[in-house]
Amino acid sequence: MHKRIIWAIMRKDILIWLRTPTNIAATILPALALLLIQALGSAAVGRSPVALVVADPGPQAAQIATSIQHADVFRLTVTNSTRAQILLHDLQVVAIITVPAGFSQAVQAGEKATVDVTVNNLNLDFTNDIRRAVPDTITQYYQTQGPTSPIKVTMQQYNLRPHDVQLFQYTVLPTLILLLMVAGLISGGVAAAREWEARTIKEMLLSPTTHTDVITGKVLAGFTTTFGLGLLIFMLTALLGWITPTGIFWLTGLFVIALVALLSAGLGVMLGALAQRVQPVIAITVNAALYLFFLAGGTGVLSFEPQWLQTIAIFDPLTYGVHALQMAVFYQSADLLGRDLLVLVGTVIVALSLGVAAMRRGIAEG
Amino acid sequence: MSQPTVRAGIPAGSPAADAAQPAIAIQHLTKQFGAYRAVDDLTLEIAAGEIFGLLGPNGSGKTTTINMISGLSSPTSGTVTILGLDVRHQSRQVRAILGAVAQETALYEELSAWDNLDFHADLYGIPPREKRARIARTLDLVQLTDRKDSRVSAFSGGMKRRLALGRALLHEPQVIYLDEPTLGVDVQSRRAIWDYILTLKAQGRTVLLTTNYLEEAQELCDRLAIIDHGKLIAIDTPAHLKSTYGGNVVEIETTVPTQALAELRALPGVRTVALDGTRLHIVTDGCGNAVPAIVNVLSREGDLTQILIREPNLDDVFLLLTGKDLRD
Repeated sequence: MHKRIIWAIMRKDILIWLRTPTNIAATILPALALLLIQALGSAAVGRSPVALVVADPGPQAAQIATSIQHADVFRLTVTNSTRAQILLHDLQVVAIITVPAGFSQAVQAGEKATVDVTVNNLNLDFTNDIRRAVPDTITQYYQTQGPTSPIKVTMQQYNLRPHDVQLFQYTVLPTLILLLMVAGLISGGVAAAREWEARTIKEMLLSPTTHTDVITGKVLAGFTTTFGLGLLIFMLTALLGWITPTGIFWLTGLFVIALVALLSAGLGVMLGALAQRVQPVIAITVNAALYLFFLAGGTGVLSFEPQWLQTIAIFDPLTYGVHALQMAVFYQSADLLGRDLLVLVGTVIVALSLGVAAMRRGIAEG
Repeated sequence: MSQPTVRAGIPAGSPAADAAQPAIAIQHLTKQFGAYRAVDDLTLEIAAGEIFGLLGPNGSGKTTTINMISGLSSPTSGTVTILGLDVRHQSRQVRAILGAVAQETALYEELSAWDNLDFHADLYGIPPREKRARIARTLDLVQLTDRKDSRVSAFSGGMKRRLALGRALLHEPQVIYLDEPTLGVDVQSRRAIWDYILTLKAQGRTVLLTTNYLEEAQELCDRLAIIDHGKLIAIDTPAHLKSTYGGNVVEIETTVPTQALAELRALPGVRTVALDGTRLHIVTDGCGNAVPAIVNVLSREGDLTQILIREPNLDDVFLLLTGKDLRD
């Protein structure tokens, strides 16, 4: 192999990729759209917007209001009754929780004390969130009463993970994997296909370079573009505080990103050499990446998805990339890391072999 | 220009090109695609330093022959050597001394002219210390220095052709093949490209040329080979081809399409008769003795509006040998 020629092919392909805005857009837009959907979805289902009206000035009313505020399940607007009705009417909030006048007095008298909830039951998801969250805050209110609480049954929570991960943050890493997949497939695929489409493959075949140099240069160009983009997004999300990798797990994360980049670049080169046209390559690669992403349970937690999807996900290499990255970055855990890396390395070898075979076949046919 | 120094990836001690050999020697070259024989036992030699034209109608086997010469395609049988190097077994050495301008300019349109040449220089292992000077000299040669940083996508067809030609010359090849080098370029660019090709000959390089423009072949080529159905039909200098196969050409315009083709062909001294509407193209022996008899036959059918007697050109030779126009 000749380093200078491989470097020249890499540099040329990367330069062309950087100078083709349509390819960059096709690479970034699917992941960006997904991130936006996830962000909006997280905002909608993570914490429901609720108006809190405290119409009682007594201490028990203040205590339950505090419990509601500290429950971390609502996006609260504390307001008066009139304004709350307007917010509900304008769909600014999904429910009004009212601590009515006389609440404290009723509690102190040991009588029935009601917290009123008005719900805009526009869909079951919102309604159920409110139905579950309000009783939960009442339970927490009783917990704050200590030994004087008439309710003796309380909940003691034990967390499996060292800290909570926000729903939106949880979706960032699968989205990064999707981005890596699209980027590798497009950069590797387009770089290979355009050599045939523009007939420039002839120039390389007429030069005294070897087929191995050409193929290595192509795969490395796809890998470099993809890994560079992945690294950039990884650092950016860390800077934004969306992910918080620490210590050795930085390296684990980067290694997983590198493996997925190599996997997607190898598959991209294969597709490009087979299709030999840029347009179908972009269409095929974006769709292939999206399906691989969804089939890996990329939009949720795979273990809680339907069994059929879990079965399919076993055969999807992105499943292992997402898992390894989430374990390393969110939970500083090497749980099943060996399995994940083994599958990824095996898939990378298969993808590169397929890419090399397709390139060799394409080159042989001219 | 200096001789090439370093060749990318060519092992040290590899057999060097032998200048005493013919530049290109083709021996019993055959290419079979299933039942179809694209090139049929072709044998010819091209001397070092000559401009050699390969002519033939579409589908005649020109491109297949060129592909086998450049090593892009393997022959079914036969051999090709370039300056003594076997194309099949010493392909990388051959590619290092061969420069190619394919019919499609095949440039990287997103890159600048300079970047395209820079990439080519790396592929051919041009020493880094020489690279900049050589690229600058090449851009100067093809008159693109002022556009060196422009993207190729903004170039005209003629500029792209010139850049492709410059790219093929950058590594200073000893043998250059040009596939339709002036196809689709304007008259000015065509003239400029002809001048470059003649400069290559002056530098002692060998040029193999395919073209559909017989005027171009006549202007540039020292010798021509005409092939059809994969076989060599004729090989000679343009002047000798014309004198050998030419005869005289009589072009006659009539008011109605003639029905007397068989009678015309039977006339003494008439070699070929071709009819295109009301226009007759007749090749005769000698210096026009058959013309009165031709006029006599045609006059019985109607008036003759034009008679032109001229010396043959390569188009006529080509038509005579292959039975079709070059652009068919």
